[in-house]
Parts: sequence; C-alpha cells; structure tokens
Amino acid sequence: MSSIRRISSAGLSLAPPSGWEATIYQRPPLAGEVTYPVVHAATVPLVPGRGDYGGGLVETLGPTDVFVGFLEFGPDAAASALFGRLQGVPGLTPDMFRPRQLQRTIVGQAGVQRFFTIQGRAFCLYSVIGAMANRVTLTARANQVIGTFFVETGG
Amino acid sequence: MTALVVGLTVVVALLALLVAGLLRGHAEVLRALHQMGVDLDPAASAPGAVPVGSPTVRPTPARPEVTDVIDLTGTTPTGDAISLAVADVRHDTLVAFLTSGCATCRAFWEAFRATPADVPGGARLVAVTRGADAESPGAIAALAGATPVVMSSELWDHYDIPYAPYFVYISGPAGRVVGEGVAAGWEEVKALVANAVADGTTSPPSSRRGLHERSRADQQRDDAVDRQLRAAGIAPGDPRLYPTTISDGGGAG
Repeated sequence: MSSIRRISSAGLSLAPPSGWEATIYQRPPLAGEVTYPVVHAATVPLVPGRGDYGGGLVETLGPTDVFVGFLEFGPDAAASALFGRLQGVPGLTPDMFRPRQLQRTIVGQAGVQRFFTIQGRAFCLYSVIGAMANRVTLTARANQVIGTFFVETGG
Repeated sequence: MTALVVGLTVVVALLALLVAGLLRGHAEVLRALHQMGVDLDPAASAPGAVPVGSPTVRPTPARPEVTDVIDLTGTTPTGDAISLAVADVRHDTLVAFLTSGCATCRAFWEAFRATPADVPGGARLVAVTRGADAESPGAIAALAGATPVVMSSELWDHYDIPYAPYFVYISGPAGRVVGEGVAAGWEEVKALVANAVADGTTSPPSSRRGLHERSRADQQRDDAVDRQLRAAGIAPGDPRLYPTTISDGGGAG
C-alpha cells in the first residue's frame, strides 16, 4: 500500500490519500500577467495540458472518480465580499453538487464551486464528481483530500 | 614396473588436484553470481516471473511486499510539487529511472520526447530522475517531452535503483512491483512489457480484494437498504433509482 505523502509549494500543501494524485503548480506569467498557484488532485491520472479548472481531465472521470482543484486569486480578491464571506477551507456536502455548476456540462457529472479566504489568501474550491448518482460516496471522497489542504500566511 | 606405477600415481594425483581446483573455481563463480542476485538454477525461479529488462541482475519479482510500493512524489523539472499514484489505482505504471548524463538514457529521453510513449497494456509511463541535489532541473526540462517527470532522490533510494537506465513495472490494482530490470533500448522494453502483459504477470493476484469490493459492513448496509426498497415497491432497475437531477433524487434543490 502506498504511503500518504504531503506535497508543498508556494505556501500551500496537500496530502493526497492513497489512490489520489496531486500537484501544486503555477503557470509562467506572460508579459504583464500575474499568475497564482493552482492545486489539482484527482483519482485519475493528471493528464498533461489540462486546464486550471480540470478541462481535459474531467472528461476522463469514471462514475467513482473525483477531481478537486484549489485556485488562488490575488490579494485584492481576499478583501472582496465574494471571497471574504467564507473564512477557512469549506467542507462539501452532497447537495452542493449540481450538474449546472460544471465549467462545461458533461452528462452524468456534477460540480461545485466555493470561494473562500484563509490566512489572508483568496481561493476558489472547484470539485467535479464523475456521477451525480454517486454524490454521497464521492462527496466523502472529495472531503478526504480537501481536509488535508493547508495554507501558510500570505506575504 | 614399479617406476611406471609410481609415475601413474603421480599423474593421477596431479589430475585430481587440477579437477579439485577447477571445481573450487566454479563454486566461487556460482557463489559470486548468487551474491549478485543471479540464480542459474531454473527450478529455483518463481513461476510466472518475467523480467522487464534484460539482462536482469536481481530476482523478479524482487519486491513481493505491497509496502514496498510508494507513490511517485517529488518535483517536476519546472519546480512544481507533484505526487503520482501507483497503487490503489486502476492503471499500471512503468517507471523509467533515468539520468541526464548517461548515453543510454539519452536514447530513452529522445524516444519519449518524439511521440507520446506507447506502453503495451496501456500502462502509464513516468520518468524519475534524482532530485535537484543531484540533477539540473534545467537539463531535465530540456530532455523531457510529454512524458511526466518526477525528480526525487528519495524514490531512487526507496526503490533501490542500482544504475540507470532502470525500469520498474508496478501493477496499480495489485499495488506491487511485478517486474524490473535494465534494457538497452525502448523497443526492447516494450517487447518485454508486452510479454509480461500477455503472460498475465501484470494482473493482480486473485486472492487480493479488488479496489471496489465491498466490506462486510458495507454489504450489510446495502442488504438493509435493498430490503427497505423492496418493501417500498422499488425493484432493481426502477427509474427512481437513477435520478438525473437533484430534484429527481429528492435532494436539496
């Protein structure tokens, strides 16, 4: 059995449970652009070239699979009402998942998006489950990895 | 006559010494090979053991314990943190332990960069180099193509990699190493993996519980739910069991 290992980068860390894989990356900025860290975790292989919201990966989710992403936004966002309303990493419940919350509708799948602030840093939590019918089990699976997300204080 | 007998006796004694010396030398060679992990006795080989590489210098499979398998955790050549799962997953993984310096490794880097690597059996190919303490991330980034690369000296130590290039084949459903070894070229690796897949050595052992096999507690809960559904007149295949929206399923809308 593979042991649980924590990955860390850019003041963020995550401990993917067994059967999960994860990465913390930051896209190289284009001229005049500022980029922020992105965390991806999934129960399927992290395919190269996937989008920040899991595009290219969520299409590979089976009925027992889950994708979880944390996208950091700038310091200005942390002061906004959208991100400031929720303090701390939110847990998910099955009723939060909706087919219409997907970035791109895929039959059978459902998604959820939550904005929050922690340690003065603003994040969007975005999760997709492979089958709406399995949302109770898959929500618990998503929470397994969400609960390991740790954020250091922003600079 | 006496001189002839004495002479023959001396010759026989010398021949006996020569044979004894040869036997001793042979025994020392066998002992040295055994210490290197090479067993020349075909009867001693594990049934179904198929080495990924050739020539292999350790018995295959060399790691029967599932605890020997750890996920591929480290950094990418661009400095991102990454952890790729190799156990408790549906797919198999072929791990290529490579360096930026060895000439044989160069051929593998080029093979991986040219086109997406086609591994027999659909296994996922991952290249693993030593960490930034021993390899230049820039050099590895220049060599890497579409194949995922994990940089971690800890992985080299954990999997006890003797030299590069070295290949380790991990069965995801079985959660264990099923083959490992060296090879001179990518086509040779593919052929050996194809043989292992065809022989079924990459399949999980039948005695191990499947990924989605239910525990006894889950099974009892399922049985209780089935009884309640039957009592409510809902049989297997009833469309009410397969809601397409939350409102269909009676959840919060």
